[in-house]
Amino acid sequence: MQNEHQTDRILRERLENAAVPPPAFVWPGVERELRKKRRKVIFWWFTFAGVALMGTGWWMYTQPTPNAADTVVQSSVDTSSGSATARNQIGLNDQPLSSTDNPVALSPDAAKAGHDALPVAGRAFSAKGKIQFSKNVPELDQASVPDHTPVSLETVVTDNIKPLTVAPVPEKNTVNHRANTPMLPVHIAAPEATTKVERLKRVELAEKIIKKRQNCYDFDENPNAWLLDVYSGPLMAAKQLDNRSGDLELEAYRQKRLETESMGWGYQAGVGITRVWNRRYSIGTGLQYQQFTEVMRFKDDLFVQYFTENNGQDTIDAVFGLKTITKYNRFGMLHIPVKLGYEWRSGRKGVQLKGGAALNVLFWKKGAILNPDTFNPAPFNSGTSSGVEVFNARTGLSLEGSAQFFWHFRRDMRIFAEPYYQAILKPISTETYPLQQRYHLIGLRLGVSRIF
Amino acid sequence: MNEETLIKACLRGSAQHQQILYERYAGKMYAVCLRYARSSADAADMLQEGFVKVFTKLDQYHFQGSFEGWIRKIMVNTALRTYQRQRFDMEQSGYEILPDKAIEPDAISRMSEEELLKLIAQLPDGYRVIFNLVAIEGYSHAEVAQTLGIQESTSRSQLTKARKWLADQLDTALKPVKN
Repeated sequence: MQNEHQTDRILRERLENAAVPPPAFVWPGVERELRKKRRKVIFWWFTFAGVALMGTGWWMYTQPTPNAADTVVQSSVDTSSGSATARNQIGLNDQPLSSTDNPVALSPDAAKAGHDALPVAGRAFSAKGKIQFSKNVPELDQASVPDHTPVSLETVVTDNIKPLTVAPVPEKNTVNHRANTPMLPVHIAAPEATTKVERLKRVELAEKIIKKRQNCYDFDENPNAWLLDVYSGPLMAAKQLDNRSGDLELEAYRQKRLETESMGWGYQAGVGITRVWNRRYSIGTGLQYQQFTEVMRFKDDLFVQYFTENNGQDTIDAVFGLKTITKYNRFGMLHIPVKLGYEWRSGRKGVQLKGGAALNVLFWKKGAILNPDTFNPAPFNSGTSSGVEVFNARTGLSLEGSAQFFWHFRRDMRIFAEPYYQAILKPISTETYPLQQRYHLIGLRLGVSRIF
Repeated sequence: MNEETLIKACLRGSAQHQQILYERYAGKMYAVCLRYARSSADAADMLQEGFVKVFTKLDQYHFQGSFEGWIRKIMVNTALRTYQRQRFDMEQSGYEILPDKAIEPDAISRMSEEELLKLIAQLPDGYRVIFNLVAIEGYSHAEVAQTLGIQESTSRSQLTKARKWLADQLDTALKPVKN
């Protein structure tokens, strides 16, 4: 025992500070791996940002609008020093306006149908934030505004309007009309609009409609547009192994491969350019990169290793039992897709159905596979004597179908989530490989589109 | 350049400083990997994987304790992970019952470090890992058993076999010297 401790101490002393120059190829390998990791980090940040963007957009979209009673309407009016005339002009007098002052009239039907909000069209927003009030606005209801018409209700104000302009005053004089004045300064008069709260509701509804249309690209006005997409997201690769010969030994090999290899998981990212024409039809192309990893876990329960000396003449020991080898098989593909689409829109949201084909321009792979002759793991496409020639240089053509759900967060930008299915038409394995290996890919693209 | 400045530069992502840090410790760490690996190619893989971990987890080093010790720990853990990935179940090891045989401390002193590393690299997988962890890194059998998921008794028996194997090899290697 004493001797053992002494031996350990000597060994530790001798080996603790031992240094052996490493092979020259190690540092380039470290650099390469670090670069890969950095790229992965960038990719995941991008994915996270995409998801966060969509989440924020959805949250904003689903936020309840404050009700009329809580609406704070601010205008640049100095109420403390405003003249009686000005107060009259903007309706700050606490008197209900008569219908004779305001010949804007709603038809009873429209009022009943809840379309009474749009008399607020009598108030128009100028670019500099001035508020203009007018009289003699013709009858107007929501239905009369073309679908997707951008905000400007000025366009619906007719020539006989006599606008009154209230110039902005410095910020410090800005007042909260709800807090300081009992009445919203909007010149609205409809037979039904007898209370201030109703007026506020109408203003709010009108502003909501205006805001919604502000965030919606007008495909009626511009039926042809370009879309630039950037996206990324998760990907699942389902492998299909076929034994066309029916050979029993080959079938055993197929089963063994299926047992040892997992389903592939990975990611995809890409850019695309799409031309929309006639409001709803589209054709697009781009570049799409997909990468996935399959885990191969091989267990050799008949493993035996002999240890010999004297040039292999004397066996001094042997180990036998279970040997487990894990390999990560990686596949990367770059495609150029061409897709046709058709889209439906409702306000800011919509769906686009797409279908098309993709041509593979790059297919790289790295890993190990069971050798069909020995049933032991061997690197594939390695060019070494133990390697197995399994895969083609390219995967060829594939077909793809997808449904893109989008939402406009700005007039010219939209975010989307696009589940898709892609089938690679031909086997990716070579003709000399005894099994046929095919892939079906299912993924989710999360991205953003810019409309030009 | 002192160690702290070098580490901080690496944390900022400077590739040049990463290379300086690598060159400073690669030799010692390669010797650690050689002790655990079956071949020099495996040791090179371990060294690469270990240094990638060092650079990606560098922010977890809080400038407390020896930096070299921190790197060494990463290398040993990487080696153990590699060992577990290609695990050999050696519960049924051995053709014969090996008699206890002690290693002569004098024999070790007469060998160069490189020769010792080569000798350890020739140890069967299970022996080598346990011998390294217990005899050189100073782990207890309980710690080894927990780390590798084996019985303490297995760890002890593997170490005994490793010592016996090394003693035999030392005898053979030093025969010409004795004569």
